[in-house]
Amino acid sequence: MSSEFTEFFQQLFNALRISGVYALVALGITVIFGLTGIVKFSIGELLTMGAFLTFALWDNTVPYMLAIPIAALGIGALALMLERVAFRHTLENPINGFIVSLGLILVLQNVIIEVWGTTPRAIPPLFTDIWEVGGVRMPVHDWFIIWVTVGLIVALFAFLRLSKYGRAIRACAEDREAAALMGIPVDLVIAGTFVLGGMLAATAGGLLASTNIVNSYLGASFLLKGFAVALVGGLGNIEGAVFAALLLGTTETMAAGYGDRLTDGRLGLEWRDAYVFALMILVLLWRPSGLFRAKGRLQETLQ
Amino acid sequence: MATITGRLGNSISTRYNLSDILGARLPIALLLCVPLFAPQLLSGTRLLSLAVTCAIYVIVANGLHIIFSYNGQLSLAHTSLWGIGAYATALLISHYGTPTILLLPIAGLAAATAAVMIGIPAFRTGGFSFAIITFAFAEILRLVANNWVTLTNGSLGITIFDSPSSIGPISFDTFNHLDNFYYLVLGFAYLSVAAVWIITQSRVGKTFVAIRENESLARSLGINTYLYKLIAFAMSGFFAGVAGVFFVYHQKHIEPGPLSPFGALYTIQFLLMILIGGRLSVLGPAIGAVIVVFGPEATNELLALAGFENVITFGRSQILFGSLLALSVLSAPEGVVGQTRRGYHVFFTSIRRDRERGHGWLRSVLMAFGRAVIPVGANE
Repeated sequence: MSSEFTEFFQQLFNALRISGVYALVALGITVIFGLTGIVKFSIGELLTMGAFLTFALWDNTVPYMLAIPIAALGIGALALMLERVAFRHTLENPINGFIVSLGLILVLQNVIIEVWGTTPRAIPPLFTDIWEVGGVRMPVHDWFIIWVTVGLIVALFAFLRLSKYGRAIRACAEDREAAALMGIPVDLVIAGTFVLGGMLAATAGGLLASTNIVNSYLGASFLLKGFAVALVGGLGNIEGAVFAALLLGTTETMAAGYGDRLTDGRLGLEWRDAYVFALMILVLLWRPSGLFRAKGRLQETLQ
Repeated sequence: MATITGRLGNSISTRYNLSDILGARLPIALLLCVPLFAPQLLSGTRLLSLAVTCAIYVIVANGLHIIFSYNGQLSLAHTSLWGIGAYATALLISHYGTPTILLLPIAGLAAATAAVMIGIPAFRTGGFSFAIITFAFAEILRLVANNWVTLTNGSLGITIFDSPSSIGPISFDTFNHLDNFYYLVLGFAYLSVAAVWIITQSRVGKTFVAIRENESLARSLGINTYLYKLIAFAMSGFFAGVAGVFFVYHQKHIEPGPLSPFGALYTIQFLLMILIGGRLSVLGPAIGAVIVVFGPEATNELLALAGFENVITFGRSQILFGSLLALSVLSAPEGVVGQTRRGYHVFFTSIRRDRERGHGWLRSVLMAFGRAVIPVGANE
């Protein structure tokens, strides 16, 4: 295989890993928005907490594979608490929920610094082998992350599309009042989605702990990427979020790989995030509700 | 209490304007004079330096006040506009030695122009999309400051050693005459408050409020809402740009780090000041800035009397303020100014009513006090 092809597939493989993580964050954001209309910015800090918690567990001899779900459960409990204390009271005015989540960013970020300090941390990869197919180098650990994210996304789709609870969530997203009249415990469903969003973010954080350096700013960068994905896919639209994650993830890795040559070395690797944000802005100018418009009554808040 | 709903941007804004307050309440007029005595009241350079920071924050927060409180658009790129003003200042000083009198309009206009350039695409969407698009622009600006090394010196930033040009015998040297520099910045902080007041009283300001209250209605009345939102954004950018000049003179340095104006979500700090101070009041952001800057200091002083040293660190103060932000949104959407005003009102009506019912003085005053300080009923 020529080196051109090799490099292209290498970037495509990198895109796959990064997109999975973006999709996890974006799915949490999108489900919460679809149901409540709240743009929950503090999800980035839940991701950071998930990463630190996973590290803390791993550091105390809990196996990495087990540390991630435990951390996710812990963050899920925290998300539940925050929903009960704060977000529940903002359901009538989603913009208040947004501002509350901005306040929570300050709280959570500084709690993280108080508890874990500012020393960066990292978990060594679980698998150190590297597969090489036709010159494309694919670390086994990256495959592990890809399969975990794909598995989670498939499970989430099955849950939302096939199970009774998923149907309840979708019913609430369409029309909360009508769902309540049909006997669906709307309050509980809303709390459940906040827990789900928190757990997805924490899982993303746990996975990132073994590929990225964990510090208190980890969440901020993934927060905007997660939102970019959720917005491009159409806030509230879960299929759209997965597609947009692939689109933006690919944009990012392709920009990292080819940006240099396309712009004569002016806008290379270090500008890769700018390509993603620029794409997001362009998509939103073209279609303010994202590529795939979600069903439901919340869309007008985006116009 | 007239209808003040807990909802953001759903109440009549110009009710608590400056003339109302000055005409009706002497205490507020006295409060406005307190900053004039800061160099005498605050001992030590560190505290005076904090006062300078606070005055700069007032200017920045007033800019956000226009676009967020009066026009109802949450721009998360606000501190980046501040950073643009700061970078423009640092570059002009280090390359051309531009005098302060020219720097102020140039930095202000640079930030206002940037605001318009962000606003032209961003205002094509609305609501949350606007907030997130401005957040994306803020990140792009940070990347520019970080990566365009030939212009901005990258992550090392730009350091200058100049102070504002002196006016006659008055030197604004920040090392030896910090009090003069403080008065200079304070003058501009007062100007920014006055400017906000003038804007809110003007036709343009009332149009901003109309757009915030009901954009489609405003549009149906023939108002070019897109244009007016751009004007509001440009105004807020001008404030931020001017504040950038003083930021650079004070700090002597600008870099795109996480704790600089370009830090991700740094705008939350100013949102905090507006919401804690009171978003329906002209003085809200200024009072909020004083609380955010000096609140932790004052608490530490009090706790030091009880033998606890340095309990409220920066991080802990952020935790408290973050909770306070959430709490104020949920239960006191008008912030300190709104609660104080409500307290005044409740206190005196309660006393009058209880006296009319024939209760004793002591009981009337105590009950009135209780009703006034418990911060509930913002929705009543």
